[in-house]
Amino acid sequence: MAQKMLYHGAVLLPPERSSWAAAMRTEAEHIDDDREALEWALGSVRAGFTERLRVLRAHKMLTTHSLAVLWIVMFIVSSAFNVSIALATRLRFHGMASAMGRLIEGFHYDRYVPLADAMPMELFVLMGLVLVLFVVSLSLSLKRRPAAFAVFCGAVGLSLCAWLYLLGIPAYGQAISPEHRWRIGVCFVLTAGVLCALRLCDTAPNSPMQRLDGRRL
Amino acid sequence: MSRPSNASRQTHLLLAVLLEQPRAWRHGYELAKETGLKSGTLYPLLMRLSDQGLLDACWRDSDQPGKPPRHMYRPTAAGLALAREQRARTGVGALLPARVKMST
Repeated sequence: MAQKMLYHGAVLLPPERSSWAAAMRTEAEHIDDDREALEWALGSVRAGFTERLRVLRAHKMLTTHSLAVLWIVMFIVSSAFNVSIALATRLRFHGMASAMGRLIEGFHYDRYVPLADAMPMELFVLMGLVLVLFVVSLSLSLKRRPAAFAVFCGAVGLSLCAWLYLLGIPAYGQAISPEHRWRIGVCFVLTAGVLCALRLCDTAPNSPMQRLDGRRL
Repeated sequence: MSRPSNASRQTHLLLAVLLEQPRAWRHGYELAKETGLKSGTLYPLLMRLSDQGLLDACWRDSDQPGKPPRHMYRPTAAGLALAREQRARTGVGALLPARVKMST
């Protein structure tokens, strides 16, 4: 186990640190006590992770802005997925809907059809609008425009409206498992919490929200 | 070469231990034992000190037959100067673990 951990620690270390990875690995071979060797190996994984994070920070890849962009991309993927699977089911693209459904825990195409049929066209339009707004938010964020944050908040708000509407459709309860509904709810609560926290921090100079907005300070 | 102006307590501790035997080559396990630092804390510190020119590192054959060579460390002149400077500023006794204190 210690050897496996040491291997993972070595993989985590940047290539220019390969001699240090070898140093930690060979040192472990001089430790006779198994428990100490295991602790040493755990430490080497931590060291590898620490160094990898430091390199990311040094290359400015792990910034608030890049995390915000990643966050928006996740929402885009999720929105595109939701509207696509609903449309595919509504249009009876059985293969496509079933293939996408494999990514949802407890998905059954037969149970999803009544839901897709019960969804009004306005809801599809709303879901499409949410997707467009997330894409616009991403574009503005990449251009470091302050409006990105407002557009993102608007998209999250509309997305929440669409989900609440879906919750009111009786077929939704049969199509989506309670666990999956809880996960979606928790996701919205967490997102709202983060957005509120960023708004509260907005009064401070160089605040996270300003950085999320991408304002040049 | 840049000196760690806001070096952590662990860095001070490691430098203090290195100062105990300034000319001796010491391996990571020994340093971990003497400082009480885990390998996950010790090695990033060693890498940083080496990057800053405060620590020399080399590979040496192991004393134990059948064991692989070991990566050994000792402070450079700049590392020793920094260790002495921080010892004068903070005092070694406050930083070293009990085991090391007894040997000083």
